Amino acid sequence: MFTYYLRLAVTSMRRTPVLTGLMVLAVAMGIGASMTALTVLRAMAQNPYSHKNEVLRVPQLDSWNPESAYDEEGNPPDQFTYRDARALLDAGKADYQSAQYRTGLSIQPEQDSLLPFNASIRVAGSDFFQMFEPAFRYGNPWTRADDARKARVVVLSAELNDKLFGGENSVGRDVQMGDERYRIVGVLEPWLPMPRVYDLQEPFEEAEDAFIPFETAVDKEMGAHGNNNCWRSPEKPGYAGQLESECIWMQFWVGFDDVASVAAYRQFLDDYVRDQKALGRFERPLNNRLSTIDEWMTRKEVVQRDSRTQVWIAFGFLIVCIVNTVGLLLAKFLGRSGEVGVRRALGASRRQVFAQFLIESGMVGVAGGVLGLLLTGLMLAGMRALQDESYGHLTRIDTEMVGITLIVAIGATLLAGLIPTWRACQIAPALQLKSQ
Amino acid sequence: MLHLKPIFSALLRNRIAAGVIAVQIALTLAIVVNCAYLVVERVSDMARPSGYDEDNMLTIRVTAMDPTRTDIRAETQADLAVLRAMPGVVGATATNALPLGRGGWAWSLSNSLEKAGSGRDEDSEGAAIYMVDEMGIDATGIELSRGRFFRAEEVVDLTQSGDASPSTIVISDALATALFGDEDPIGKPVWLNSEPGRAPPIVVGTAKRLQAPWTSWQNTEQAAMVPYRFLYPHRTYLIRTEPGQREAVMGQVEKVLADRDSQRIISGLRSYAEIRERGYREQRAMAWILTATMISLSLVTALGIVGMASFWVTQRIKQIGTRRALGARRFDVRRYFQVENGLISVGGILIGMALAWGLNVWLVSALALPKLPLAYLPIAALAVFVLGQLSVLGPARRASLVSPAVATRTV
Repeated sequence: MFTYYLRLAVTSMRRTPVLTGLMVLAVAMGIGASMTALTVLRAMAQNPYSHKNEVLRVPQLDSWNPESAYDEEGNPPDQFTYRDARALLDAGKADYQSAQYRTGLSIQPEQDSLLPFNASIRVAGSDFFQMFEPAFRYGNPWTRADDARKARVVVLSAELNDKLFGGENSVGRDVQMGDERYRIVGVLEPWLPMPRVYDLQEPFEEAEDAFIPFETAVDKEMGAHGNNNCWRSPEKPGYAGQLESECIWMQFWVGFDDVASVAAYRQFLDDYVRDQKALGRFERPLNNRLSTIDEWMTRKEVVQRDSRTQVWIAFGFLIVCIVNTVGLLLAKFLGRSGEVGVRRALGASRRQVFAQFLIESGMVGVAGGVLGLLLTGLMLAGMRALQDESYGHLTRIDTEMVGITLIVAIGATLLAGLIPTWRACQIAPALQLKSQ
Repeated sequence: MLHLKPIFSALLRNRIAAGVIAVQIALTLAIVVNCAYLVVERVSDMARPSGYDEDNMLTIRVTAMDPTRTDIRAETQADLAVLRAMPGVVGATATNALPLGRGGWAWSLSNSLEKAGSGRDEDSEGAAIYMVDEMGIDATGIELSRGRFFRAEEVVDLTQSGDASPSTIVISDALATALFGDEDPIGKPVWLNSEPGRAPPIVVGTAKRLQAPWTSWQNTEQAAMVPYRFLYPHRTYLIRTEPGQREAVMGQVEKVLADRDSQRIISGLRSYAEIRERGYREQRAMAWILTATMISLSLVTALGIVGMASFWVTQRIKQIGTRRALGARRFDVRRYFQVENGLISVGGILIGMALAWGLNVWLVSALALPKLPLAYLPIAALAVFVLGQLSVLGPARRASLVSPAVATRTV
């Protein structure tokens, strides 16, 4: 019976191509808009490290102004002072720990064909690679020993290695960055954690061009190319003053092999702040945090308000499209009262009429869903054109989204078909036959 | 004379269909009103002037390759000299940040030493800080509303390890109002919150407008210029040209700087129009997305009305023919459908206005969006009403063309 109803539906749709077209188009537009908004929202909200959510943690210490909280909600600062990062690194109480910031260096390629250029640099500890697990194409991360001796070593991104060495294995070679040569110890595979969890100050930027040890960067007095926030100016000028200051300018991450260690680390942080209080720092109430990645993403408001607004408005649009389909299906089905009358008179049960019309609604849904998928692709391309390049990574549609799209489209039109179908079932056969 | 009663009772016989259209109109109104408000808000944000003479300005970045072995002061002065000597250039200066430029520095300023020392946020005003030399006014074209700009002798060096304090400051009118209310700010000191011990700079002038680098910052009109020679290894040159000379200067400037010294990285050549484009990218994207949504939504609803009205016309061909045979004019038939749509629209609009308000209240509480001004409701209601009337025009015309002879036929 199902295939017979399918054939009936196709015949019926062909008979009223304009009305059918209108319905399919409306469903497609509603689906396109809502799936576009949803794709972006999902991409923003996803946690690429969900498998390590509990064991990768962001500590926050309230080193801020005694008179005013860091923000209106009373949260502790979202970055670290060098002093506290130094102390936590030296204590080494977590299984992995890394202080990080973003900087830039000029690279002077050996080839004459390449002009010197600026490269973005992530300054981090060797543990960074254990925690965030970028895949290596060649070589390995530098070691904790390299950290300790402030080694001039570098890990290149795949892109930078392609640019400088044509993608060859460059491990063991040197690259001139700033005023010094750095030994290449590793080259990454293309790496794109989205959002860029390890530095949510700029969540949708791409990963940096190269990575160098934190200790090396501090030794070379490299400043941060990111947010540097001071509630009190440094007491001394220059880099030394910056290191001793209460300015926050670096990110700090800790990692654990076992989630059971988290509680002990929490205790360690509280003890550390109490010790510092005795030294006259941390005058604010004890307000330490040790957030999981999910908590941290929520706190940093990774999902932008505009994107949430877009999702709500797009789903409102979808509802209008569904209501629109209800109206058009109603018109269409009631226009076929005569046909229903005949079928009913010939012995079709209400249930059979119901199935027939519901299948026709579902067909509109399938067509609308497929067209909606195409529209989603187009709209995402439009979004890419309107936003920064890095935003492009948020507008990729995956197979899961394709499935969701089709299910939503068919579900929505079946829902839209319910009232018109029910009305069609109410048609009394005798009355219709009489008026013929 | 509209003969509402028979139309109304006819509608009651088509309750579900009429109700569906009314609900659709109501939802459309509710969504369009809220979108329109968000779009208008963004478009008016984007229309704000930055205070710089953007049409005639460009910027370029210079990065020293080996900062420790470079005399940045000499290099900067030499660069500025060749830039200022270029034909068509009105002024050039080195700076740390740009209005609309997305990245920059901010200071917390207070109008008294006591407040600066209190450490409380509410005692201070945030201000974006631009470091420029005495050519800053020529290089940016800012318009002073009071006082004067910096004198050459007031400009001090700011290096990465430096510790010099500026003796003077030029603040935007918005910042002046925030700090001093209606009082004349000229000659008044402003204290830096983070270091109240430092000698405060004295306000020597106010700029009519000077925006911060952050376009979505709530205090984006609060900014100040301080007289610093900005001597960082990584710095931006601001260049202002005579009207119409910008393209010519843009074509030359990279070469001019490279000719003077090629051993550094020269990058980021941009007209101010590009900086504005980037500065408002998110707002523009949102405005476009919402506008596209409003248009598509109106289109879907219009098509829905057309579809439903066409169905009714088809269904009632015999009745229309009978009415025509009994003496109704074409105009009467047309009016019937227009009035019918009008009735449905009014119903939909009434529900829609309530819904729009409710939706906004919810958006305000859930997403912290701004509150909808009531004036938007009647305007949108009118627009939706017109949309309905226009949509029904075609079907109504078709109805009016039904021949009276139809009455004599059996389907």
